[in-house]
Amino acid sequence: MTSADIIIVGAGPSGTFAAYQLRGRAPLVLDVGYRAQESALDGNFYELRKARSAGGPDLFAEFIGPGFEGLHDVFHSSLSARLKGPRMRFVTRAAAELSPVVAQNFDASMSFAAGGMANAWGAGLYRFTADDLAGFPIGVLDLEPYYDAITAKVGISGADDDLSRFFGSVRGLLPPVTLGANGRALLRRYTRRRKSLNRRGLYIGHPRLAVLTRDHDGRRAYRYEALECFRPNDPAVYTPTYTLDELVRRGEIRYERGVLVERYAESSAGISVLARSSSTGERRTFRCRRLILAAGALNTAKIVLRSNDDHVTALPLLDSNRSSIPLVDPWGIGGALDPSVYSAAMLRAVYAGEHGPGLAHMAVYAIGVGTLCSDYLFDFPLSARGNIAAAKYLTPALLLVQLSYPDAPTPTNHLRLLPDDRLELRYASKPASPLESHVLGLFRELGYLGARGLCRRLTPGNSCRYAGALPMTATPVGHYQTDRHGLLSGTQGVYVADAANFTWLPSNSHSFTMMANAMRIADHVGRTLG
Amino acid sequence: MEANHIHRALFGHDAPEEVRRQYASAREALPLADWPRIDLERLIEHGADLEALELALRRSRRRNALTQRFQVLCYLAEVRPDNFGRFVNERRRWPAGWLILGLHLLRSLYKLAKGRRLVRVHDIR
Repeated sequence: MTSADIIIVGAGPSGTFAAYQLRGRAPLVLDVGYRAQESALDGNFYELRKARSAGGPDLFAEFIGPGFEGLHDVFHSSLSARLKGPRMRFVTRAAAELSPVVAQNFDASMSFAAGGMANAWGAGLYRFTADDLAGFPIGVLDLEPYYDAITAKVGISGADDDLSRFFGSVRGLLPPVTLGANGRALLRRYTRRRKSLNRRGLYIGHPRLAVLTRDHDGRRAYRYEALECFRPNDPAVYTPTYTLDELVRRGEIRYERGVLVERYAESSAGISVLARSSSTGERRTFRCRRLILAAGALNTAKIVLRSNDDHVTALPLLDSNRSSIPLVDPWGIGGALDPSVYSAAMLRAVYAGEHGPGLAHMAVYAIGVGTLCSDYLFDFPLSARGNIAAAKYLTPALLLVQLSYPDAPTPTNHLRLLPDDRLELRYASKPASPLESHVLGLFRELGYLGARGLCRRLTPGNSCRYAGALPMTATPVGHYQTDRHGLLSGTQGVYVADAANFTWLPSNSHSFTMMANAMRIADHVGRTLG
Repeated sequence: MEANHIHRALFGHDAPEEVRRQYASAREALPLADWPRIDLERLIEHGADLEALELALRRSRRRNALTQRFQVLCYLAEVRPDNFGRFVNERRRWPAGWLILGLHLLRSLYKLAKGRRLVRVHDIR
């Protein structure tokens, strides 16, 4: 039996930063820890595709895959472009077998990869403001030192612009990622109409991204190769795996890979952690004084329910619902595609007017950048041959605004552990929001055309941002709430350090807060051991 | 044969050998939607306009077996360097872009009408 003072379950963003905070105390990190296969892609997405020289990478293997992984959306429900590339499939590998779910109106994505879902994230890291933390038993000042520490470690690019008031301190930011042609055009138009748009509640600015715009912490700056959907582990685009590997290399943590934690049991002698090998199924037991659960909101909830042998209780299920709003710039039709861009969120927008549910955060993407046109070609209304021409001449003119809605606990949206050990996820559809029409109107003022009929509310779960099953409260009750330090009610040493402990999900992206809060909780756990 | 005909509908010429092979493997590995049940070989023998038929079927149901065949072939073709220029516009062509889209809009209206007639004639359900 392996023992440690502190065991951390999971090595996604939360688990890794809990471990980072406890480095030197030799916490033991238990993780399934699937890893990416090496990619042969070296160069720019577009340059590689047009190179005809022999000896280049096999583009079929890299973009489609020997198992036709890249054709996923043709035959199954839509998967994020960042998850379906052949080399990116490790992110969600074996999730259905290791953590089976029965879902109603919920497309759950889970990761058992080292670094978790962050291997496929857009790398947006945004601080929560006091408004975002309303209802949490912690405030901005509690998180500030950890936000700063992560900023220094990870390297976050961004700018002090109109969005600073929504994203908090600009301390330590690297220069923003260079915009592509349509990003520059949008920002230019916004600057010309800023006063009028601000009066109507719209603010636009640079995103804050864990993408290096200069060399930092031993990693090189981003090269604008637009390969994020196909090539894992670009050193310039941060994933928690980099920090995890560094901690292991320096001997500051212990890391056991191939371990799927199933439950824990607490006694006066400490905490037993019961697990099995993810490859052989062999049972294993670990012992610790403090247990930090950071297995992702859904799996952490599952471990807690299973530990209580509870197949009855329904826990809250929060998801950052999204709408996608396609827009076309008539002046951009026939334009040249800008090949040297970052393929994830190009710009960020916030709506702070009277038509929204509080603040509404939006990511603005250039459609088709860094992906194959075939992903969306058949969404155009022309004949197949016409659609190919449309993809060629229309793509440089297309923008996609992805609008995130906040979510709070409701009785209709919940998760439950079934007697057969599957996780039941139920989520009620939300009605269309009038905000979409309003956003269309605001972007029309900027010269972009769209239609309400083309707006699409994504299936719940599509955001991969889940939270709220074991919420933090000032006065926790029962077995399924946590105190402000993440301590699970009714336990002496079990802590929840991922988004399962969020009280609600604001519209703002929660990744940065998840990481900072995990550090804050780990800091407290360390102190309880003296 | 199927790959060649779809490739011709998309690009105006037969599929390269490698694409034909990849298409055949993909068809073996991936299950097509069960609607509509069409005998593609027979339609091809009758000289049916697959592009028109695909558009008409896609307008009635987004996920259908013929559109899936077209999509698979589109993916396989798109990753080939010789097709790069068909999918990516590298030079600004402002009036040409508009003109080409306008022509394709008119062409697609014609193809849609033709496709709907084919659906009726071949009793595709």
